[in-house]
Amino acid sequence: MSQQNAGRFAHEVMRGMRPDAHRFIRPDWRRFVRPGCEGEAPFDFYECFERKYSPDQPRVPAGNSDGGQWTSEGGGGGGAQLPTNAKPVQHRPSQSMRVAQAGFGMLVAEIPLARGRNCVYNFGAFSVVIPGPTNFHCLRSVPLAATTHGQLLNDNRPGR
Amino acid sequence: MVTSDILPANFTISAEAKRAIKDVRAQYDKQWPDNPAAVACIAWGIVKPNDGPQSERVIVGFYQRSMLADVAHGIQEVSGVPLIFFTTEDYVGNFAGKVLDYSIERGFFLRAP
Repeated sequence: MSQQNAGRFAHEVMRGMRPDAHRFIRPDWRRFVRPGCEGEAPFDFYECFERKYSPDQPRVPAGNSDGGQWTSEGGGGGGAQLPTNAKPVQHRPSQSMRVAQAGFGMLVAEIPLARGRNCVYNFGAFSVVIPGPTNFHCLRSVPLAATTHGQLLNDNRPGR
Repeated sequence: MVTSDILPANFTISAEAKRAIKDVRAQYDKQWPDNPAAVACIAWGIVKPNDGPQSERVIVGFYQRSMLADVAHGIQEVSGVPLIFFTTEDYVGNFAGKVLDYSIERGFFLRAP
């Protein structure tokens, strides 16, 4: 698409869009986006959205009680609720896997505010938002045990 | 207030919380042995479950060695613990005069002295 056409397309999109259209986007829209596209605005990556039907999605083989049913492709799992001005934070896949196993919530976004910013951590079943100043970086991770209760934290402490 | 100001820590830390902070440090060191925990971070967090009401609580984490140089200017010592007090004016009142404590049942929490 030429630059002129792209600009015209953007204008047409905005012309028919409410100024508060972002309020009508599902807060968990990132769940439906393929890996690698999370950092873009939704209207910039229409092709990245997962469709209900995919001819490539695997099925349970015939002969099983669930034969023919769609099988899970993994994914999903409670994303943080992010506003449109959130700055997503990218992590290497291997790093995210290790962190999930150890019970750390990873920084998924830094949301600029008028007087500071919100650091958003995703724990799967819940998110933690930490409001902070701009003179320090957000923590890269927060341990699950330090955000919920002490059982996990104290499992390795003898005599407790 | 400008956001470059550093809010002075206005709380203290109990002996039990100090031990728990050491445990948190050990978790970081175990998870990232090549980038171990460097300095503690005390913050106020808003916990938002995917379903159900949200809650608020004190959060304890660690800046790792790779980030130490970036935050070193703001390290404060509270009850003998070097830390970064990572919060804003909107939430600093939650810490005022309180003791950061720890129990197995409640995790980290703030209580009156």
